[in-house]
Amino acid sequence: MNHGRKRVKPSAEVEKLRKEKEVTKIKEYRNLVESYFQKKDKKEFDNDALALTTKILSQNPDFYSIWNFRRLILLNGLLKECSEEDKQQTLSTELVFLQELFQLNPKSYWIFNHRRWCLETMQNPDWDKELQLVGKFLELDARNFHAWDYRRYVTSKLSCTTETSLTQIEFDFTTTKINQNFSNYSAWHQRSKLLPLLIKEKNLDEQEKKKLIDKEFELVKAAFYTDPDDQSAWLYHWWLVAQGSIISTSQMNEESKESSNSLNQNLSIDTSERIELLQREINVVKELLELEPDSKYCLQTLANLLSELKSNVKEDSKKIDDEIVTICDRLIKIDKFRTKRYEDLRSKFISNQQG
Amino acid sequence: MPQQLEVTEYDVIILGTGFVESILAGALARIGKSVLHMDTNEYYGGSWTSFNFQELLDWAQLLQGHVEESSGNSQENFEGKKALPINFSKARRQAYSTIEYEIYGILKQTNSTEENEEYLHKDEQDTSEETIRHVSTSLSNFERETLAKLLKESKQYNLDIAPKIMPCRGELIELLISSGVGRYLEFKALDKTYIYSDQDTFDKVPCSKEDVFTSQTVTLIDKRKLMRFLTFALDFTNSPETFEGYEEKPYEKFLKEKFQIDGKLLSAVLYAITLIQTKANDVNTIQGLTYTQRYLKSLGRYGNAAFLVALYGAGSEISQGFCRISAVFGGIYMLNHSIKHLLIDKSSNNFTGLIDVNGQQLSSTYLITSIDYIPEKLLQENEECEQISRAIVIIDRYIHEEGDASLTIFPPDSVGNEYPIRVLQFSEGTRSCPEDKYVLYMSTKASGKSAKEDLYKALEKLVNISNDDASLSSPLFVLFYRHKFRDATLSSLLPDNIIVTNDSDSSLDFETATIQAKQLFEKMCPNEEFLPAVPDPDDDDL
Repeated sequence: MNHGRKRVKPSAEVEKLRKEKEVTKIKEYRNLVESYFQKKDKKEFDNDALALTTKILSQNPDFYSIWNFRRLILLNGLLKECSEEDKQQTLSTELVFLQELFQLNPKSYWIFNHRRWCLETMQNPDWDKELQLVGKFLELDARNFHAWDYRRYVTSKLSCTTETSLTQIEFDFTTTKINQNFSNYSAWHQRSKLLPLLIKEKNLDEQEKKKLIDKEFELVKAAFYTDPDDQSAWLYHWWLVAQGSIISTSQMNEESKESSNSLNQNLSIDTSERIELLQREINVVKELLELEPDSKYCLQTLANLLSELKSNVKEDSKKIDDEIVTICDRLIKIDKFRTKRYEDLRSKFISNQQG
Repeated sequence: MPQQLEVTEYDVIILGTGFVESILAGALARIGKSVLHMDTNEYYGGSWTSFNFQELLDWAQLLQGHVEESSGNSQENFEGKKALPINFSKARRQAYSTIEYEIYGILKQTNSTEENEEYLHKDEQDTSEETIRHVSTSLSNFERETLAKLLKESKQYNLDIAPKIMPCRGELIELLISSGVGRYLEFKALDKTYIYSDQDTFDKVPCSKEDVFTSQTVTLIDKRKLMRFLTFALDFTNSPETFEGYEEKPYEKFLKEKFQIDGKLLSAVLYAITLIQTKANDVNTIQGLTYTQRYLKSLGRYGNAAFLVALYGAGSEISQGFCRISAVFGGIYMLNHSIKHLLIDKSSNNFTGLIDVNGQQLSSTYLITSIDYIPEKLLQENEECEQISRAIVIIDRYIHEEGDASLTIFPPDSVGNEYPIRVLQFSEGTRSCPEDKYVLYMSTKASGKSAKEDLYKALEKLVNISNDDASLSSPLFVLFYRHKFRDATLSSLLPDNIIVTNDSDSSLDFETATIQAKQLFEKMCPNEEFLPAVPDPDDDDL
C-alpha cells in the first residue's frame, strides 16, 4: 500500500541486470532450502541446522517454516535442560539477531512473531526496552502497522508487570504522531482503541465524556479541513460518529456493543442528543463542502449522516431522500471507479421517494 | 618597511571584500585570471561584515564622528594620466546616517553590589579605557555595569551590520553547493515565523501541512483556504488557467478574488511567506507567485524551515569563503591597505591602474570595486536613493519562543509604519552572542526622519524598553542606523572597465546580490564557467 504516493518503475535495462544477478542468488538459496528439508526430515536439531536457518532467514525472513524449525532446534538444543542464565543469554542473542533482520525488513509478521516467542520464553523480558525499540520503529516510519500492533502487545505486557495503566501515555503518543503527520491510518486506529479504554479507566461522567469526545471531533475536523482528500481522518470521523451512538448510553446490552460498526443503531439512546450531534456534524461537513464541492469523502460522509438522521426524525423524510439522491448523482460523476456503489445507494432512496 | 608587491600587473584588481566583490574574486581566480584583492578595512566583508561588541561600538562611534576631507587636490596628473583621489572613509561615512545607540541598566540584579563593583573595576583595566570613558560619562551606574559586562564578553558576539538569511532553495545556496564554498560554512535552520496582528498579538505563521493542522490561531475555513492556495502555489506554472488575466495585476487582488484569502491570512501570505518589502500593490501576481513558490519549495529541503542562517555572521563568513577560493587559485590578498588614486587614461577614458598608500602603482585590465572606493568625481550623487533603517538589539531573553533563529514581521501600518518591518532573532546557536543573550536585527525601508523613528514602536512591542512590562525580555543595548542602497548602475561617468558592485539592499536574503555577481561575471567573461566545482582532494574517483 502506497497511501496514494506514486510508484516509480525502473527502466528495462536496469531490470535485465537485476534479473541476471538474481539467477545466481536463487540457485544458492535453493540449495540452502534443500539442506533444510533434509535436516528437518532427519530431525537433526544440531548447530549446523541452526546456522542453516540463520543463513536462510537472513535472506528470507518471511519463510515461516524456517522460523518454526529454528524454534524446534533451540528447544531441543541450547534451551534444553540449561540454566536460567544460559536461557536468557541464548534468547538475548536471538533478539539481537532479530534486530539486525529488522533493519532489512521492518514489516515482517514472522520476525515480530519470533520476537514475541523469545520474550515469552525468557524469564526476565525487558519490556521497557521493547517499548523504546518500537518507538524507534515508529520514528522511522510512523505508518508501520506491524510496529503499532507490536506496540499494543508491549504496552499490555508492560502494564501487566508494572500494574499501571499506560493508556493516557499511549493516547498522548498517538496525538504526537498525528500532529506530525495526520495521514496515518495506524495512529488514528490506535486512538480508536484507546479512547474507549480511557473513558472507562478515568470513570468519566456524562459531561466529561461528552467534552472528551467533542475534543476528538475538533481534532479530526482540523485534519479533514486541512486535507479533505485524506481518507484516514475521515475514517476516524466515521468511527467517532458511530461511537457517539454507543458511548452516550450506558443502557446498551453486550450484543449491540459488539456490532458497533453500524451507524443505524435503533436502541434506547437519547434521541434528541443524537439528532443534535448528527445535525452538528452535517453542518460541519456542509460548510467544508461549500469550499470543496467535489470532495468525495465530504459527500459520502454527508450521505451517511443524513441517512442516520432520517431514521431518527419522522418529518423531513422526503427532503432528506432528495438530498441523498442529489449527493449520489454528484458522486457518480466525480468518482467513476465506484459508480455502481453509488447507484446502489441511490436506488435505496429513490425507491423510498416513490414508495 | 612598507609592503611592496612583486607583481604590479593583474587581470583584475578588486577593491573591497564585500559579498559581491568576493564572489567575483573567487569566480575570476577560478578560471585562471590573476586577481589582486584589497580592502582598506583590516577585516573581510566590507559593509557586509560582522563585528564583536567592542568593534561594533567603535564602528558606530567612527560613523558618528567627523571625517576629514582628503588633503590632496581634487585632481592630479600622474605620468600623463588623470589621478583621481579616493576618500574611502568619507564615501563610507556618507552611506550611513541617523546613528544612535543606547545602553540599558539590567534591572534584575543577580549579583551583589560588591561583585558588581569588582566587575567594573576589572573591566576598566581589561578593555579599551577610551571606550568606557567616551561612552560612560552620561551613564548611570546600572548602565555602566551593562556596558562593562558587554565589553567583557565582547568576543562572544558576531553582530552583522547587514544581516541576511538564506532560502533553502535559491541562487546562493545552489552556488555554495556547486562551488564548494558551502564546505567552509555551518548553518542553523530558521523554522519559525511570526506576524504581528491587529489584536496586538504575535501569531505563528503556518507554512507546512503540519503547521496548518496544529495551528491554534487559524480558523478551519482559513486552514482549508490556505492549504488549497499553498498546494496551487507550489506548482503554479502547471495551472495557468487559475491566474489567467491576473498576471500583471496586484497579487493581493488575485489572492482575494481567486482564493478568498483576506484579513489575517492575506497579511501572512503577503508579508510572511511572499516577504513583500514594500506595499502589497507593488507586487504583481506573477512576481508574488514566484516568491511564494520559492518559499514553499524551500520548506522541507533541510527540515521544516524555509531559511538557513550561517554561523558567525553570514556576510562575513560567506565573503571569506569566496576569498578563500580566490586565494587557492592564486588570488593575492591585502587587508588594511588604502588606495590613494585611481588612474584614468585621458584619451580613452579607461581605467588603467591605481596608486596605493605606499605610492606603488598597480595596473589591471579591469577594476571591480564597491562604491566606497569610487572617487567623488566619478559618482553622480543620487539624493533619492533607497535607504534602509536598521537596528541591532541585544536582549537578555528570547522573544516568542526559544530557538536558534526566528523571523517576526510587522505588516505595513500595524505600528504606524509605512513599510513592513522585519525582525530576525538569533541565539547563541548562530554564534551571534553568548549563551544567555539573544540578538534582534530589525530592518525596514526608511520612511521617517531616522532609523529610530522607523523602528522604535515595533521595538516597544517586542522588548521591555520603556520599563513597564516585566513579562517581556529586557534590552541591554540598542543601535539604530540607516544606510543607503547606492545603485552602481546610475553613474554614467564611470569608465567601461570599472565594474561597481551594489551596496547591500533591503531584502532579507542574498539573492539579488548573488544574481548581480553572476551578471557582472557574465559581462566580463561571457561564456566562461561560473565557479565550477573544485575537485575534492579526498575524492577517490578522480
